[in-house]
Amino acid sequence: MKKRLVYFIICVLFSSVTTFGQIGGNTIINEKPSVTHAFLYRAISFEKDSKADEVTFEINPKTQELHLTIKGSFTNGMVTVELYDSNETKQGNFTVGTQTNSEKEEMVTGSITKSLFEPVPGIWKVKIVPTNATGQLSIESNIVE
Amino acid sequence: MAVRYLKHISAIFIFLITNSSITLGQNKSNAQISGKLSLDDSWDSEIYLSHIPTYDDMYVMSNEMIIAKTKIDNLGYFKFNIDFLPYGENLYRLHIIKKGDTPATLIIGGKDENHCFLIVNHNSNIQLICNLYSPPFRNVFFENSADNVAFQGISNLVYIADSIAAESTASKRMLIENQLQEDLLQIADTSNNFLVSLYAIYKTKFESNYASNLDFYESYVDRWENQDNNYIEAFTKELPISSNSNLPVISTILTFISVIVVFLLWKFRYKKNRNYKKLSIQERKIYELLQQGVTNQEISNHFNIGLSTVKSHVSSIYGKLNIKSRKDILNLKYNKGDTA
Repeated sequence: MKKRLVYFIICVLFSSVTTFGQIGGNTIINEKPSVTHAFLYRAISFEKDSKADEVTFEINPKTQELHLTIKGSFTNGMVTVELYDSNETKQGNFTVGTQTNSEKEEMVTGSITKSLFEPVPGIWKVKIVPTNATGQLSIESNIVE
Repeated sequence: MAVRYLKHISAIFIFLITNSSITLGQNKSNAQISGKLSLDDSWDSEIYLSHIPTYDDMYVMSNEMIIAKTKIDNLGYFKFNIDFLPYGENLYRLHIIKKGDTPATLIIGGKDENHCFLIVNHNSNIQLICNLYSPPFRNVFFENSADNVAFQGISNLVYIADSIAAESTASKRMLIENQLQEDLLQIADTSNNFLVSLYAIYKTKFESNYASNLDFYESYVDRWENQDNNYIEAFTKELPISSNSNLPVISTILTFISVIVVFLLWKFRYKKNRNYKKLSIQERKIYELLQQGVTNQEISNHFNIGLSTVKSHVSSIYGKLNIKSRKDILNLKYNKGDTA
């Protein structure tokens, strides 16, 4: 009888430790700060276009990460893409251009990928300067807060 | 006997052929860029060489810039013969493309960054090894080219600083960037190769910190003033306070202003002379006396004419010269030659 009682107490103790452990684990998971992702995707088409454009997006002080990809494919003309942070500091650029004297259609492609932890808060700009450009440009950003 | 001679002759003949081919082989230029890449299946088996005419064109891509292409074999080896390149050192870009992509494809940043830069001239024999799969040109080791090792060192320095900065807080990032600026300026200051030195300058983002390091940049331009190429020309044009860039504009404006001033002076003088020429001979003589400050009575005595006649002449002079008093006459000045 005494032996059974000892077994019972050990079982109860073991069971309660396991249960508390599981509760504790759940609590830790719940305390983890929530992370939000803000995705921005913008596609711009050009048809013998020469008008400069600017795409802006806001980085707020809570932003933890910024992942940005700008891709351009063009069959005609020239395009310069420049990325500026809110301090007007150039963070990257590329220019793609087709041959001016070429009669056959050709494709040129450029892309830039940038990842930053705690990017400078404020308005970031993507400046796009096309010259008689025909093609597509896409801007894809993932802002983690 | 004949067979024996024939053997000797053929041996000599073979020796001569072998010797001449070795000599020719030695004379032939061994200028080349060769290397080994570690690529996965997603990459195409061709590699392209582009000429980069200025540092502003490092991230410019067009088919026109591609000057050569060659195959990458199954083991990742490739070789360019570059004896067609100019004798002077220039900046070039090697790039590869993903399968299905157009040759004029430039990928900047990320795991698929597809290019690297190198300094090459007509006689260069450069070997590079890239032993990283992703991105393929991240770790480039140059053999027998100290300048390219230094050049790659700058790229690595910037990459490491950027990588650390990208995962750092804003305040820490500022410290890292300041340290990077200092390191780059030191490389620019101490490097003996102009293209290496200028590459370090471009990586400092000199457009924004030129004002705070004015002395450095001025002495830098003085140091390389004997360089006569596109790279230094493009750089000096970009300097915010370029010593030469505004000179043509300023000189044009000054010339224009000078022409206008000379024209106005000439016109004013012509108008004065034209008025003076309206005076009669007698009036001119009286005018000269008036300029000396003599009175009507003295003029009358000098020319032996009546005082009323003098007054009439003086009044006429006033009318023709469009003046109102003797004081105005004293302020007018004509050359002796104008009186003729």
